[in-house]
Amino acid sequence: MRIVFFAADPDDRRLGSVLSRARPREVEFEILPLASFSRSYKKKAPGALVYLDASGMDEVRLLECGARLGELPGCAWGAFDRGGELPDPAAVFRAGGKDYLGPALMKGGFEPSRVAAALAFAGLGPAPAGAGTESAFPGWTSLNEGDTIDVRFCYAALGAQRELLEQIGEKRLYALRESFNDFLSPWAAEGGGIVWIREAAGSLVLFPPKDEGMNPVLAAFRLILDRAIVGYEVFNLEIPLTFRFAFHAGRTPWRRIGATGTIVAEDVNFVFHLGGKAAQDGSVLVSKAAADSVPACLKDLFVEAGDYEGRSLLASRRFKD
Amino acid sequence: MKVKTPLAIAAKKCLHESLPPEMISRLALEVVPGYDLSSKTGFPATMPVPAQLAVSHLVDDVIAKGRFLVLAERLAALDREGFMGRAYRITGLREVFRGIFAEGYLWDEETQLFMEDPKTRRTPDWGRLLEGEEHRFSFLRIDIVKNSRLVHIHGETAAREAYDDLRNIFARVVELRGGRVWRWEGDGALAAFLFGHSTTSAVLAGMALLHELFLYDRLHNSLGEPLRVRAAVHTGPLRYSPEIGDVLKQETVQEVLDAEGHWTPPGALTITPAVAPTLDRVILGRFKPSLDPSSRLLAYEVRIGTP
Repeated sequence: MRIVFFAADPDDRRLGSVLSRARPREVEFEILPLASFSRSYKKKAPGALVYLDASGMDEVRLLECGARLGELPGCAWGAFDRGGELPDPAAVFRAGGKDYLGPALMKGGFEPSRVAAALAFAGLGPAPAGAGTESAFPGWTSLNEGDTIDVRFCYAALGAQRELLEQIGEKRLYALRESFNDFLSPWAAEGGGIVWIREAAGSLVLFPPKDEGMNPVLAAFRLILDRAIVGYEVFNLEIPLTFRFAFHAGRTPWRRIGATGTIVAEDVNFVFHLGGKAAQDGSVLVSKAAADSVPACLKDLFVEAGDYEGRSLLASRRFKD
Repeated sequence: MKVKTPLAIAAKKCLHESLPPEMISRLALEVVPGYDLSSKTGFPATMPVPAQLAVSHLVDDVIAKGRFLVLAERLAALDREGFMGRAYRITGLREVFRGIFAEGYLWDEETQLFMEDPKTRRTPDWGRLLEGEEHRFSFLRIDIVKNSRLVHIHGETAAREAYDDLRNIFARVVELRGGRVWRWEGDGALAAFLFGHSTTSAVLAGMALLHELFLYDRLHNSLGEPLRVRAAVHTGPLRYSPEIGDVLKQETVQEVLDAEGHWTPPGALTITPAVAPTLDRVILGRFKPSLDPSSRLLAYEVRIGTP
């Protein structure tokens, strides 16, 4: 099995370091200059999973190159976008791409298991160990209205909204909530997720039942760790910002985004209650059903947090301000 | 920056067609302080220099002195804001910009300056500093805690891998905020920030580094113990030199080395009294006074609390 990276800077030590760490023994990695794409892709890409460097070209060009790769036998393609420069990462999948490696994933989380999952999803490798006989998550665009699906729910919201209202006023808070929801879309896409239901107080993000890309609990934890930087650099706030997250795993009937008003599902109700009433600012709350999503490296930072509506909970320890 | 002949010609045409002779003289003084157009062209000071000759000498001299970007930025400012209440329409400015973009530069709206396109290259001088020029820089200095002990216990190979990871993380948090890594030693590093809100950028890079290391220790660190750094930020004037030895001798760098080495506890980022007043309150509020009463620095650490 082979993975080929067409990189704007093939000598980039950081990219080399990330890839060497992520490389399973049986997978061969090759980094080629993006400038050589036109003359080398027909030779190098067949039978490989090919990643195109979004920092070296605009979205239109990237999708054009992807389309050319898609015509080659046994070739699948994706984008790696360390700087988060693609305005709409989902465009990669709509154009037939199979993977998207965004900034958070390239910082950490691009590991052998992730590579194996990407190859399997691209049809170039076996299903990852642990997947059992269950079929891989088919992808949001393949679902039919009314299908009952297993997913992981993530309720994501700005913290301390009452204080925010007092400090920045209703108009700016409204704009901030909109910005936060916009921010969540590419954030979720890195873990194969989508922002499913947007509400004023908080949004419901869906992730596949198994990790596809970044681990969402780790990503939420990272966002809380980075809250001061994100508040200042991303949301241009002159006052402190924090977040709250609640995770749960369960089932729901599928409705497309924008047509979710009539959903009746116990797990959807539960996660909205969990996020809206039980979650705490600066903490990640996880129901027992989603406890498997807490990565091993963070388990010591999660403690039992009692029961809510009859389900036991874990909560991350908070960072001191 | 290398200025190719077509770009130089475009700049001369742009100046000649857009500015009267007195404005060209004024512009020359702004771009190259002390520049005397009359003596350069051999005309008596009492006699006006023909515009075509003046722009030809000016552009050639500006290129020779490495200040072409400053000239283009000043022309852009004239086009945008005029001068002394008078509007100047700079014709052909777009052509000049195109020529500069072709050399691998971007126009930065925030600073209204040309910057290296980081996708093309990242040089220590941002592609525009001149040796001997004094600027107010901000510096982020880091040092690996107990470096020798880590090498002794875990072996050179394992320690080297961890240091390579740290180097990559450091370069990423610095360059993401427009900074440049000026020195990477075996056990520490120095990064410089100059443009925009340079102190804020340096401080945020330092905070981001501590966050990244917090997660690195849990996700990727194979040493079996945390990789800890001491980090400090200081700001002050410095005469730019491509020789790192000349840079390290200067007072501003000495002060950041002193802040890190003598006053920063392991795992912390400190800021000096010169930095604190330049930060927005929301960032400054994250820093606490040092436990050492003799220290005037403020410190930031990642601290875990209760659920």
